[in-house]
Amino acid sequence: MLLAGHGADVIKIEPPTGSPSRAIGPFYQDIRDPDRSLFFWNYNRAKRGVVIDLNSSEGRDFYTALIRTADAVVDSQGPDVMDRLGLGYDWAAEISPNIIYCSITPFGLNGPWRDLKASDLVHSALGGMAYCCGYDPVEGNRWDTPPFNPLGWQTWCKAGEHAAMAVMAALLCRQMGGPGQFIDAAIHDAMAHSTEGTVPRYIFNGVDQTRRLPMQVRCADGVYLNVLGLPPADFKKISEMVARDGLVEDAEALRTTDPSRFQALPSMLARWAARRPAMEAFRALQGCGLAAGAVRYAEDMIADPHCQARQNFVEIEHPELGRSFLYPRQPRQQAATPWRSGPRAPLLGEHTEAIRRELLTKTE
Amino acid sequence: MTNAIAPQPLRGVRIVDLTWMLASAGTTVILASLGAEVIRIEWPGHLDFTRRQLQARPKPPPLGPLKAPAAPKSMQAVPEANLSGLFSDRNAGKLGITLNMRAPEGLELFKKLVGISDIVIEGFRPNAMRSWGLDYETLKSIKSDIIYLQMAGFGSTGPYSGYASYGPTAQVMSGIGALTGLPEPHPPTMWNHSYMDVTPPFYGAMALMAALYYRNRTGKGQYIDQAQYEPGLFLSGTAVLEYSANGRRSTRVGNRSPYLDAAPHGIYRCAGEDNWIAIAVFNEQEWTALCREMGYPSWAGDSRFADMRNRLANLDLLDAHLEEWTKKREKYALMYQLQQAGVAAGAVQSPGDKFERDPQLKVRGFFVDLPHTRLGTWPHTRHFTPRLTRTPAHPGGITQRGAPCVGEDNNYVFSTLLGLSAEEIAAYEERGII
Repeated sequence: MLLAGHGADVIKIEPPTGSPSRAIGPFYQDIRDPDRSLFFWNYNRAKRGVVIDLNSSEGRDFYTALIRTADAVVDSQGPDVMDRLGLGYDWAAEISPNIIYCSITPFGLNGPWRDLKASDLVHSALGGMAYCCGYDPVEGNRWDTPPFNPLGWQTWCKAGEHAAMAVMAALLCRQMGGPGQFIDAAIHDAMAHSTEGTVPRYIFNGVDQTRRLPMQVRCADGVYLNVLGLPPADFKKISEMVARDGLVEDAEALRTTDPSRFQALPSMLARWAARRPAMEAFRALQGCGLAAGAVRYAEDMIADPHCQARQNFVEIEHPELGRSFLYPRQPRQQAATPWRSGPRAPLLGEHTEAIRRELLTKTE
Repeated sequence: MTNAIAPQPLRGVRIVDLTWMLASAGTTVILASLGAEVIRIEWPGHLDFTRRQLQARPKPPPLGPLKAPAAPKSMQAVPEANLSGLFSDRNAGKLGITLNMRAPEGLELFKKLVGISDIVIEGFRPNAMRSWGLDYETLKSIKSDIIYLQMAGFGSTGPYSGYASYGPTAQVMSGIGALTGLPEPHPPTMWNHSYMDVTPPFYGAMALMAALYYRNRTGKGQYIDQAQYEPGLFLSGTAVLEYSANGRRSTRVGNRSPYLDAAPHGIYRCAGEDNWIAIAVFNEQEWTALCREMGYPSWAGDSRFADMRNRLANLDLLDAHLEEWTKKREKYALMYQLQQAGVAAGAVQSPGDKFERDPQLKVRGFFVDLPHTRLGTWPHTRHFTPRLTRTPAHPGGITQRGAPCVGEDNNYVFSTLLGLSAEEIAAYEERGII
């Protein structure tokens, strides 16, 4: 989806029963149907889709014809699956020596964990992401809540992002005169990196960064506001603002605080924040240079004026359903080569015939 | 700077780097590991904040004393800025110069550098570069095909575009921070590391590589504006669709699996303090295997757990029973036992676990020793992890070391690249330009 967004012509190949991801919900109108998976819709837009039975000779011929015209292959079938069919990188490179072939597997193609079974949750645990997400300990080093896995299939997203970067790097390298090549991408590697400074912190300081609640205050409307007392926060200005609410003690604490005490910031702002809705508190604190943000869900961003100004959402038509749906539009603003956010994800086998015809005209 | 490592994909690409901390600096560390020549610019009063974090004790040098470079005059009053391990990890493979961007003569040198570069990337507040007379139009007039990537927290347009933003701010602005933790009335937990400092660099790197590809084809550069929160919002697509398609708002579900039937599915306590294991069962075959490994306890035969539908209706009880078993077991031993039986299970690994105990990361070469001129040789992590088999990435980049010390590459950039004489450099140093 990321490569398609950058303008690549992406052809998704599915078996006759459809990609397994078509069984991942939620589903449109809660009807479980291969063409109604919202998960599939989101991660497969701007792609075309063909059905190929790779176990049939006719299917293998079709796949071979596609390989001849392809710049790159992205294969997340699992270790050895395509090789066992005789259709892996070695075979593809015989047909197209400069092809770029990116394999995405749970743990990579070597190592003692190569063939372990994984899921989004298991990757989050092994990769270190879950360890850092959760509530405060009850005391010292004791928790009565587990680590939590962030929702939204983050592990698969990270793997896809690393793989997309790798394919791009390989394409760019080839464009500048380098060879095609095989790429071995692993979800576990991507997750190991995803924990930001925590591993360097262990390496250089011998400390494990554990989970705890973020610095946030609860506002009048029940929405939390994340607050960070780093520069360019103007504590004098914030103190004056809080004082205007009559909160003398809090105002004094804010006025006399120093940067090393910014962990105590939520306790100094809790009473002030509890009296006003989150977005009002957000604008007021940002006006004092404080990095504040309301903890909202994605759907709350639809009406947000900043997201509207930056056109962060787009309606994409689903003609066969007679309506359009709202999707996130793009991960950046780019006028010269705009992000390709649509059309909608392919129905199962939607482009099989059209692409078959395309390949015929190419060989004529 | 000689190196005998295999060729890398982005050799010959030169990047003028005005990034900061991680959200933007993470972009160029990726490109450095792919072989690009990344020139980081710092100046008095504008040393990267990360240099103050995670200071480490230098390792004893293997062969005699280290020759730490003398800081340029303009920086000599600055306390020790070359001891940060975190800065080294985030800026490995880059070159570092000191150039006073506040001084007109400094800006002139900057423009000369732009004239021989492919990319300018920065993470300032939106109007900073413009206020120095360095907007895209000006950069384009210096080099017509320049690629300019701006990575401000809220982006360069929109009502919040001047607002302060760090990783957590971007995390909540993207809608993903709210998705972690127990359902209401419990508060959201977010990540306790800055996930939205990790993710935007990937999109920045992709943007720059795609822009290079386009420029190589068309001769045209471009301007790109990537807000830190935008890739996160882009990732939340299924939540947006659920709202648009079904009118349903998002909720937190702890460690459950609402969109792909799985039971049990969660993180369970293991022996010892704060040790946990993730277990995910997606079908009856895996459930049977799990029961067998547990020794067929009587509770498992209860009709409430007989099939997926029933287990999904009794998750609290299922979790409680399962944890009675797991809490007596060591997390890795249990993981391997369940994996052997065909059940997806994984120990919850801490940062220390990943470094000391994870056998897979060792084999995959996730940790790479790099020398740092002041710190000695330390393991650094990969910021770009896929293995390109013909043109490998390497965290040491073209410098084959960790992060640059302050001004470490002044001589190379000002003398070799820009052709200044030793006298000219000395004069600039005297006046605090370099």
